[in-house]
Amino acid sequence: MLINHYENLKGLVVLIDPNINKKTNLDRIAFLEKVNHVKTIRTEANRFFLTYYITSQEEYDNLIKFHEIITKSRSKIYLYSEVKRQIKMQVNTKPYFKTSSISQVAEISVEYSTEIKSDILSKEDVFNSIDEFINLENNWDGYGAIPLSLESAKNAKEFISSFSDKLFKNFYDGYPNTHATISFEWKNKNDDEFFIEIGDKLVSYYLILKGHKPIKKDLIELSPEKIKTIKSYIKKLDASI
Amino acid sequence: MQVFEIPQTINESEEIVRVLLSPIHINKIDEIKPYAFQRPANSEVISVNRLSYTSLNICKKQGSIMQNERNLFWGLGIVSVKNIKQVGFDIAYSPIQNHPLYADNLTHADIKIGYMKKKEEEPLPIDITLKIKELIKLTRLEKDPNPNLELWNG
Repeated sequence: MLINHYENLKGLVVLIDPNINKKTNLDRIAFLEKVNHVKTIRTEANRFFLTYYITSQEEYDNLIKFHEIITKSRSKIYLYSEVKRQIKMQVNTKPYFKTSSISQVAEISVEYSTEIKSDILSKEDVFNSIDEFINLENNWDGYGAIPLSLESAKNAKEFISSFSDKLFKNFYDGYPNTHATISFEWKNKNDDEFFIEIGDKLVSYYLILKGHKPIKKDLIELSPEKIKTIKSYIKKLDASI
Repeated sequence: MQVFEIPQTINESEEIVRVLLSPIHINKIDEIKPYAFQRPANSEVISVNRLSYTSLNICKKQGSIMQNERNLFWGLGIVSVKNIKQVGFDIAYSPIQNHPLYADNLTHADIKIGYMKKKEEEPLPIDITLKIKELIKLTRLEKDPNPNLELWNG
């Protein structure tokens, strides 16, 4: 259960000693000050534990550094999914979940969502949502889903980054899929729609315009030329109203 | 005690139920989210139950096991076997017994999408995506009328 190597860190959710602030006798302000000394820590706090969402080697290194600053000892980091599995199996979890006052550090808590609201039209907002999707925990849907992969997220950002704000006019939805990819949908008042699912290497997309034969592309690479074509499809949603 | 056998063959007149949590499967206006009927990575099946051989209370109990601090049991998505087949998917009875991780569930079934991805992080073919969207359109939502009670509707 202890993580003692640097392999397969991508998308990992880990948890650390929930008594971390108590052990060092730090008050709330001092604890938050310590946290500020370490960059790019992503965390969620609740009354049972502190979870950390690892998206890069840098974050993992910072987590180790953070733990060592606070505890002045070798860090103990547990795999969150394994602990959750043990809870389900009703294994004694006392070693991990002791009574603690984690609410004291609730200020650093982050809420993770699984939808991009359709009234959000800026690129930055879409980027932020993509970051949140990376940070979903394993089994985020209750049926074994895995978080958005870093590579799929990178591709999604590259895809969106070339868009002007105008192209978000008919933006309808954006969401993670259960298998580490991400989907975006554009829809106009006529229910004409463009859909794309972006993975780590390939994309699939379709355009459905009323009165026209649907255009469907399966598992192709997303080249600059393809992005140009897709933009022209999205513009067609505007033109067809 | 009355004991009845669950038939191995799933009849077209049966209804199938998927346990739904909120907010993860349901948006703010009580619509089902697009991925609520997706299968996990590296699998070609969507986990469901045979409503004719289970009960709303049992489904709610399952939901209470699945729920966590962020996502609470919301209710059920119900779709007929006829509609599942009409969309182009298949269904197979797959009772869970003596599984190392999951509790026994003799009403469990799998919707088979008929496509296995080569690896995680790969998009689905468009025809499969469109079939899932169609399945969602044909799914009837039953919201738990009283989430605070242990049993469905008390």
